[in-house]
Amino acid sequence: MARENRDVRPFDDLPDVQSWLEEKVTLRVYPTGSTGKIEPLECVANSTLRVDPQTVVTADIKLHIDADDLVLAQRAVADRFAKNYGNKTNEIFSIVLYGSSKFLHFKDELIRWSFSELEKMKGGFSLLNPDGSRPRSLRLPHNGTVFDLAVVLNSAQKPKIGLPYRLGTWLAHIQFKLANPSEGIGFNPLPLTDEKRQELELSQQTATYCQINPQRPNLLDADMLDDFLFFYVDSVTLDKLSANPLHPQSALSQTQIFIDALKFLVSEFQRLENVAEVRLKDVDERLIGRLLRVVSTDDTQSLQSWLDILRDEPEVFIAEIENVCKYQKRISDSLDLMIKGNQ
Amino acid sequence: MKYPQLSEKDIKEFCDLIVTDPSNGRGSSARAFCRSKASSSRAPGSNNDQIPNLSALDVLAKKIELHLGDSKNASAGAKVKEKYESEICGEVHQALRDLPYEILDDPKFWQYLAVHFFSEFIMWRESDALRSGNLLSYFRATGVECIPLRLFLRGQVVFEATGKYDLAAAIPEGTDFWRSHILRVKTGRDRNVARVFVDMQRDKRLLTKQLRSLARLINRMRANVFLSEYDVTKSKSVLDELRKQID
Repeated sequence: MARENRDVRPFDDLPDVQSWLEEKVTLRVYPTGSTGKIEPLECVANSTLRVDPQTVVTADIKLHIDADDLVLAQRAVADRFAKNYGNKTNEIFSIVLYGSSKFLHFKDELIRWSFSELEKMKGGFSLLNPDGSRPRSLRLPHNGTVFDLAVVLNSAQKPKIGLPYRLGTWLAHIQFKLANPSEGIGFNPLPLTDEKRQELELSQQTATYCQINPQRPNLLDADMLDDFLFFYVDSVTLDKLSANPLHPQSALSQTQIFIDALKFLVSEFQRLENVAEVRLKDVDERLIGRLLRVVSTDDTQSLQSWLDILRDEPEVFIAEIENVCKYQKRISDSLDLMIKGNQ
Repeated sequence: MKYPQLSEKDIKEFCDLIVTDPSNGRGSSARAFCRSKASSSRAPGSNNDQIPNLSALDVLAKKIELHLGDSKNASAGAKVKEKYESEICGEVHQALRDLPYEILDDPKFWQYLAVHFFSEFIMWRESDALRSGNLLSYFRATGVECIPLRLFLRGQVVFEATGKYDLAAAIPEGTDFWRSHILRVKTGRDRNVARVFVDMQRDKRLLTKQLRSLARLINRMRANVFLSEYDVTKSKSVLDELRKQID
């Protein structure tokens, strides 16, 4: 679901380039080592792509625009804007890409281009190092990476009314996030063994079981999903999924399990007696805040908007969970493999 | 590469044990707990079972335990504790900085480190939390309160900005400054700005209210400006300018 959250800025910037970045540039993840041809996973501007740990540290990851895109037009826009400063060309701007880790607190420059180098994105520009090694921002399987792609002023300019002048001021900016499908919210399925089945009085063919933690039954007090919910998955199934995490059928099953756990959480939230009184500031740092961040960006406006949806339109919230988990693609990849196997 | 982990459930159990009886958190008991509970996981993307070398942390843990064993230190006040924390940040970062990022990014690895190497330090450093039974956030790696992670990150910020560790201990009673104005916020990721901010606080200390005002101005600027574009000289210039606004 696309939601516009753009702030009004106190100076002119590059709205055309901003729109172009939002509409044309994507981050693509090309899984390696899989059997069969799998389409890349695509992250569009200002969204989160959830990728399993193995894939995120082995895949090639590329900034991408279509090969027939007219990047020259963006250069012309930048040239016109540069004239406001008395510059004939766009050399006062740089296109930068930073990769950062919230968990390990670093922010590294991955790309620094001039407008004339935008062509490099055509058909895909790999973010791996030239020798094939991975920068550390592509080695974060658990807590994910935030990528900031921006057009910035690369030197301080003489202040002029209505124009940005500080070094580093961005004139267009988009963000991509790569995140782990489960960590972040703290989801670790537990093995449903024969002993556990007996203890929980479950039948042999029960594959999954949600149990609210008897010691921490208050949803609003929980920090992580594991605090509140014990989500059991048949132990043999779990072993098979762990052994083949990249196989499309495995990826589909993992996605289904994750979505099921979050659906349970959404329904438990709905059952709260005081659901109408839940405020963002009370839940922001807790499990519900983490649930919101599965679908939301990190800014307050977006989080508040998703809290309202969680409360008033849970079916929309669940639909967006499916969207961010690329559920349709997981189904499609799995069916493609089945059809190929039948041929 | 295969590395040790402790789950959320395990560290909750460990915290319950030490809150009930602090002797369960002594170095040897903590290591015994890890031997019985820790699992081992292969780092995503790795194709070998090599074990990471944590011997430097072993040495550091023994040094810390010796330090805390001294009766003079056992009953130390907040200032002494803060000073000691600031002095070991560099050693923690140095001991871990060459490990693969695939491992460093795993909270369960930090939880293992917290119990195996830092249990006694955590009980000493956070003795008030131990008394009130709220130690979990110092062992749990969901944020920068996790003690080994916060020590590592403080070392990392100064090392990546200066190539050495002196600055980690430059501000007396600086824990709150580091927590509130560097590690919990994005400033810690803008290395040069963070370095200059620490220099500034060392040389001309701001009081809490002034610090908050300055931090607000930095955050406001960050909404429109990539501070990661600033080298040391330009960071100093921009922080001096903002500081004049609050003086």
